Amino acid sequence: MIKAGSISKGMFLSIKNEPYVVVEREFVNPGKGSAFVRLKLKNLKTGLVNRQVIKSQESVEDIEVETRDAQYLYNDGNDFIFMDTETYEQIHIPIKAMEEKMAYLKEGETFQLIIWESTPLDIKLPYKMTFKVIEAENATKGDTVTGATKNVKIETGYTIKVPLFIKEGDTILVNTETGEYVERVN
Amino acid sequence: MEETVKKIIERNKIIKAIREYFTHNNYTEVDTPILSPSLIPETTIEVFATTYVNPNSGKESPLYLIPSPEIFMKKLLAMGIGNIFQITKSFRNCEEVSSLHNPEFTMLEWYTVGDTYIESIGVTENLLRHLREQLKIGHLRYGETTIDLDSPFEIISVEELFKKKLGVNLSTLINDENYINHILEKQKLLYNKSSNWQEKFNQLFLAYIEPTLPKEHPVIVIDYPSKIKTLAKRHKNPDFSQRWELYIAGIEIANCYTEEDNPKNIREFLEQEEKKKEKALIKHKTDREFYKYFYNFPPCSGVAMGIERLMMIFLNKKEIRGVIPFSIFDSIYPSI
Repeated sequence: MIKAGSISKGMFLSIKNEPYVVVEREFVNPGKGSAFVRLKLKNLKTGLVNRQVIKSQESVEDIEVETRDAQYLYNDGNDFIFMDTETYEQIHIPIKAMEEKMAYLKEGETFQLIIWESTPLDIKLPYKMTFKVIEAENATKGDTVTGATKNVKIETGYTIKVPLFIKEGDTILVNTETGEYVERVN
Repeated sequence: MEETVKKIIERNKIIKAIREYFTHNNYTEVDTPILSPSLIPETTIEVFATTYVNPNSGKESPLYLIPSPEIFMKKLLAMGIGNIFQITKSFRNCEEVSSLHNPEFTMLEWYTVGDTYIESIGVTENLLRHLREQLKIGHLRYGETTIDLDSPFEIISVEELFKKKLGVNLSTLINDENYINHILEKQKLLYNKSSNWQEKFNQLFLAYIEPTLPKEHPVIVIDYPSKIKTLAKRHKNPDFSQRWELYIAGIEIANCYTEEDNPKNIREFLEQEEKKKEKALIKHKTDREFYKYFYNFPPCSGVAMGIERLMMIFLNKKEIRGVIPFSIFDSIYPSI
């Protein structure tokens, strides 16, 4: 058990026996009153996001999780399918538990799986990842305005805004927290 | 280094403009102690305590840093000083490291004799417009939002907000303890049955009301339940207090009362709060004689405004540290 005031983003909590990940945490104070935390929580079983406001001094159950390395294989429309790199067993995670991570799941890439009581809950993404650009429109001549961007498609099918000089076949670095282009790698 | 110097210059412009506004409107600027041997007890605030040591006897006397200059300013009002304002440092302990708090901060507090909390709204509107002019800001932008300071501030009661955002009748919420539990449960908010009414109310307010307040113009949230004990005078309907809070861009900037002036009520407040303060982390002496000043206290309205938060709005800063040079948290928690 921890005090609600110690909750940080990315932590896993158990509320009414359901596992949640903390998506956002804000410290809030009413004009005249004790401190609260305002949380955006994602239920890792249902994928539903809800908000909570808890007194900072209130106790909340934090979950002990373990991490395991697993290779991403594919998705079958319902689940993401991973393979534990040690045991080779297949692990299924419902797409709705981590839909927003779909853009970063490169087939064959190894990720850190977060497991709670034998249930895979989520994956930990590296803060930055490289992706190949598979489709890019060429910038039209004369587009020399600084800061101008265009859309390209990366190998996972995700579309991202990049500077005009990026071409098809380039490898780029993407910030997985913001979904933004960082720099060209090759 | 340059950042720090820049902060000082920007702070100075704002403080100068505030001073000009009140001086031009014939408020007397006052300058009262930051250290006090006793305080007005407030359950939700923790203070900083220190000690005076007598060099000869070695006797130690506890002293406390003021959480606001209210205690001294009200004594001056009772002495007949008239309209007053003060820009001074105030101190609050045990607050979370956040973008809106610093243990040492600058408070603007002013009192207008003969006014109620309603008239204080106009004074506040004019203050903000004056600041914008002096800072030569054409359109006030905070983040992605342009803030309209020209139209009269939107005034909305806590009652209206609860009705609109939760479909809840505030009077029922105030008077029926089971009803507030029922609403918390319905909204699936985690709470402790042993929490007091104030905490439950604040939980609902912070979850459903505060995040939805408009950001494109300042909002005055008015008429809070008296169950939240303050030194504000009650309305004819004693369930509500003559109190408002100013929100700009969703940030709480100021708090205003029609000041309680009945010494009996002040005495009761002091006794109740002192008792609750027995559970405080940092105990302090209560100024038990404070109520005596109210035998001679003029009817007035007071406003307390966090100057750093006001600076954040005018200088478009997301963090309070962006307007505080040498912030304590820069050394204690540099990475946050």
